[in-house]
Amino acid sequence: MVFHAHRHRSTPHLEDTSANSTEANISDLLENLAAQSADEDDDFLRQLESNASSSSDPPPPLPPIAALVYDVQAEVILSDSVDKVDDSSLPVLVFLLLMCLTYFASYLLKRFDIIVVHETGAALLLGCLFGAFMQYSSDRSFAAVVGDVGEFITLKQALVFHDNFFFLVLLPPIIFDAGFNIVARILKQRFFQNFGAICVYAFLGCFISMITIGFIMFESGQLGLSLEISVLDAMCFGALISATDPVTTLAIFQDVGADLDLYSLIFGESVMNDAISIVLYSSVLSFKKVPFNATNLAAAFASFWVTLLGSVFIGVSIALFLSFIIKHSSLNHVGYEHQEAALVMLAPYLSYMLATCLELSGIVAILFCGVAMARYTVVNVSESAYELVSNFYKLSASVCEMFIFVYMGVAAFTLDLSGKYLRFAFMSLVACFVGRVINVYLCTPLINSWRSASTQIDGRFKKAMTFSGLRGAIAFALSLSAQSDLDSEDTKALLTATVLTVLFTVWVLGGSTPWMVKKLQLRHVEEALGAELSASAEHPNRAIGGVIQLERKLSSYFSPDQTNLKGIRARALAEEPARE
Amino acid sequence: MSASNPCSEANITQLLQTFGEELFAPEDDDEDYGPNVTLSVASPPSLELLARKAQQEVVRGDSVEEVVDTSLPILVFLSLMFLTYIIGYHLKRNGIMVLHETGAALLLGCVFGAAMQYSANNSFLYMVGGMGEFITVEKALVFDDNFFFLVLLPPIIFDAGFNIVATVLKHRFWHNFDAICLYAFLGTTISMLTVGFVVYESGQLGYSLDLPLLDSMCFGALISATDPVTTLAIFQDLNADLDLYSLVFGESVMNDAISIVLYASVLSFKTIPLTSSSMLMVFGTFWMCLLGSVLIGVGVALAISLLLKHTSLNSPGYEHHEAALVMLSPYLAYLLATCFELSGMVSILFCGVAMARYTVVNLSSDANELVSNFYKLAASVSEMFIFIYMGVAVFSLNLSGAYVRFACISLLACLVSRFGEIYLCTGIINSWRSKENRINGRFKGALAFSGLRGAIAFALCLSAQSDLEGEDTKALMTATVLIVLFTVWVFGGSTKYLVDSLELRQEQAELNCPGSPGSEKWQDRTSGKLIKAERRLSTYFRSEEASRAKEESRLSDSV
Repeated sequence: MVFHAHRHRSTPHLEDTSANSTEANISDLLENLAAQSADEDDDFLRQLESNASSSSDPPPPLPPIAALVYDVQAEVILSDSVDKVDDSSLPVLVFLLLMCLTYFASYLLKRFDIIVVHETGAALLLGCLFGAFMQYSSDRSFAAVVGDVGEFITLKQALVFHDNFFFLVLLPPIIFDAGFNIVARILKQRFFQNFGAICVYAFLGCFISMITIGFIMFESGQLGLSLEISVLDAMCFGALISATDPVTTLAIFQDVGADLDLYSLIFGESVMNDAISIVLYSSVLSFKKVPFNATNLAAAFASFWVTLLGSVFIGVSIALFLSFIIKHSSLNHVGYEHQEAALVMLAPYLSYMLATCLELSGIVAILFCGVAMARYTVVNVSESAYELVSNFYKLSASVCEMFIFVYMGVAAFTLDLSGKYLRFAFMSLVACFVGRVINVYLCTPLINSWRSASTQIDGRFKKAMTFSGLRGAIAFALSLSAQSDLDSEDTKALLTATVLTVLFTVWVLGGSTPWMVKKLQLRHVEEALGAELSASAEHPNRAIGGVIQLERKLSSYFSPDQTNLKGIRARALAEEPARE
Repeated sequence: MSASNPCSEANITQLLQTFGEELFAPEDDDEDYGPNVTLSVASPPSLELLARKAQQEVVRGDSVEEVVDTSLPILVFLSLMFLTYIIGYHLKRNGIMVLHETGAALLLGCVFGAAMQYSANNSFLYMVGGMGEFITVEKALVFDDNFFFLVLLPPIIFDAGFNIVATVLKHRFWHNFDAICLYAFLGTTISMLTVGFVVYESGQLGYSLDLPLLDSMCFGALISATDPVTTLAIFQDLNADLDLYSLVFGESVMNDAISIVLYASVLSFKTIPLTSSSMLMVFGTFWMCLLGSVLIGVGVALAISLLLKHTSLNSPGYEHHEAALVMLSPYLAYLLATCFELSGMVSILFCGVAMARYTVVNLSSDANELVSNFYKLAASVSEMFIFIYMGVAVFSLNLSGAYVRFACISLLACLVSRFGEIYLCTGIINSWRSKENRINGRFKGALAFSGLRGAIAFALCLSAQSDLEGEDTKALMTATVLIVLFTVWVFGGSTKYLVDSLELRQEQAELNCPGSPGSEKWQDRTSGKLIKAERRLSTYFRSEEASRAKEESRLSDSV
């Protein structure tokens, strides 16, 4: 943007490059300039002084610096003209086209029952193809043939989106949708029945995974098998790569009708995983400034819990606050759907931004806001407003996910794929696998130790859970922000490793999920649906039963009064106790 | 860098200032920057260095910390929006029509802006902001016109075409299409010329700022975009006459499109002199731009309809893909038009209208729900955001005497041109309409009254800040924002009174048969032919079952 400002008065050297005002280009440009301007600057100052001495004009009253700076700043502020829209709209257009293509391709895949490549896999593939094409075209000046639009975009220009865009725009709807739509609609009680197991997998499992991966990466570096990175970097990488992605596995599970218990275990684990690994990542990152000792460890541990619980608290309380407002007003009457829906739609963002501003984790807050809203707000909301909001988030989550996967595919060709980086990526893939196995096989016995014989997590489930450790959007977004958080050269290696791990897991593990489901006979048994309600009462032990009762009391407080019932959901709620 | 928020633009300027002072400390002897050759030759390397440093900070600055920094303004805007919706609900519930939701948004934004301004002046901020530093007005206004044009406006415009035309107005819109087009084309041109001329002449006569002709005409073009939101929300609440509704709505939506294209056309005189040949050329590009955008919008809509018709995307199980494709296609139209340097707004508007007609019939009802709900909500939230933003922007304006005088004169010009435009166009329209379809005096009054300004005028004005050079672009901004405030508060607030006093409510009998056969009468022979051709086209794009279902529903309606 700043270079945009120099278009009028800059040297021709700048002139030709300043048209592309993307940051990537600018940074390239800067590297070229760096050598020149350092010495030139002195020269020019000297020249200026000589000019000044020869000039006989009296100094004008207006200080030139102010005018100059004003000019620069005016240009900086005002450079976002209609031209700029053109510049940034071409990459967006390309991504949109790729997304449309992906949706269409995935429709064809689904239509012809090709389950080996799923939607996300197709997105990555298309992204890769486009990335390769771009790389090829920019190398061989093939671009001029293709691009009639004047100038064709280069790969770097296409990657104008940075991690801010991911964290503020793309991730919130995905995470909220996971909490609001999937937990509430598809899983319902199953999710809460398995909540204990999910928490163990998420907390303990994610921690184990981080330690294992971090340790392997660090040690392999020490032993000379791959890049030598610092403990901090290794642990950060361990934390960020521990975030597993629910999208692909779950889409396939849904298509083939997999067992609902397994579904909720994997879904719950990967969603909670994301939350935990984000918080873990920032906790580990805090050791960047402070030395590693016992007190700091305790402090980091404490801040981990404060961040986690604080975020959960913010998310849940925003949801409860909203339920309270809707319950005690007539927002859910006919005629106010518009306001009601807008409020319900804005609330999760509010929790996200609030948590971020308090330096907590926005992702955790929005996740729990979604879960709590599904439980307490939805019953108060009118049918049409609910449709509006849930459709809005469903669609935006789907589109955002698709965008991230296409983006990752394109990004694969901007990576540094030199030998040592590839070795590092390979090591990290191995480490991920080891971490996953340890995670599942350590946590499951622990969970089984308190579960009754009928609800034990059996070997098939264990295998399926090990298998479904796909990496995705969150890991990628975290590794993008790691580029600026960690300041060593090796952060590029982390990005390479992350993207390659994502590609491998999505294509290989995701592609073979249907095969796995068939092999392990994990399809959903029809009868189980009917038995669901009766069986569900058995499983909670006394302590959990107490918690559940407490929660029911809370939920009945936030649900509409019986005299005030309206909407289908409220009526369904009234029928629910009768069924039980 | 020690500053905690490396990337906001305000900070870059700060950074530049400090760098600038360091670098240029020895040279006090230069003349004014603009004409001086020495400095403009000498400065680039230093500037490059300075910019390089700044840029490095910018590039590196996108860390998690940065999320915190941009999230505070967003949080503030979100809370304001949240509050506005609650206020809007209470206003509606208690039947207060004097202040509508958009008016409330402006008001709340103003109050917040004032509070910020006050707190920035009086170091009141530390009391409010427990988070270390509180945001100032300038920092809150981090969104640029790019954000407006790429993120906020597309859903609003698409929603206007897709949802309102298709679900609320239906045939009424098409029956009044001749009048709408005339109001939009001729009316907007008249309005632009009048406002531009008045503003220019008043400057010449010394009543207000002395603007160049180009700036005044650009201002005339951008301020001619009327905003449908407020009036129409009230019309809908009050069940105003559907013919009037579609006239006002259609006029203001088409208006937006035309004024955007007009603005771009006028702006092209910045680089070329005003001669008859260049006039002709600009006139040519105006039509090219308009028709090209319409073509792209309609083309994308037809392409998606064909895709849906000839695949089984609309059979159950694929709602997800179907909805996503349909949701993305308006953006595709928008960006395609923008990349061809046409008007994205025009193309997304017509994409919406064409999709409502040709795509919706091929869509499964689930996917239709998904898409229409998505855009409805997105449009509502974007609109609210823009109005709050405008409210906050009021206090960052330059409100010196000359600027306010300029704003007053341009407000007067707007009012005069609005009345002139409506009364002139209505006369022309009535000359070819049959007696019972004439636009009567009550309608004329209502139309003249509903010339509220809003989002598009503001967004265009934001981009005028960089398109036009000179100090006076700030005056345009002041005038635009004040006109928006005035029209939304005064006209928007008195719409209920207007509807009541002119007896514009819909008659109950009319409500029951919106597609009454009487409405078909006025079509003269040529438009009848056109309509038939369009029907043939539409049956081609419609899947057979869908058209059968539609026929059946039409039959059952007539029974």
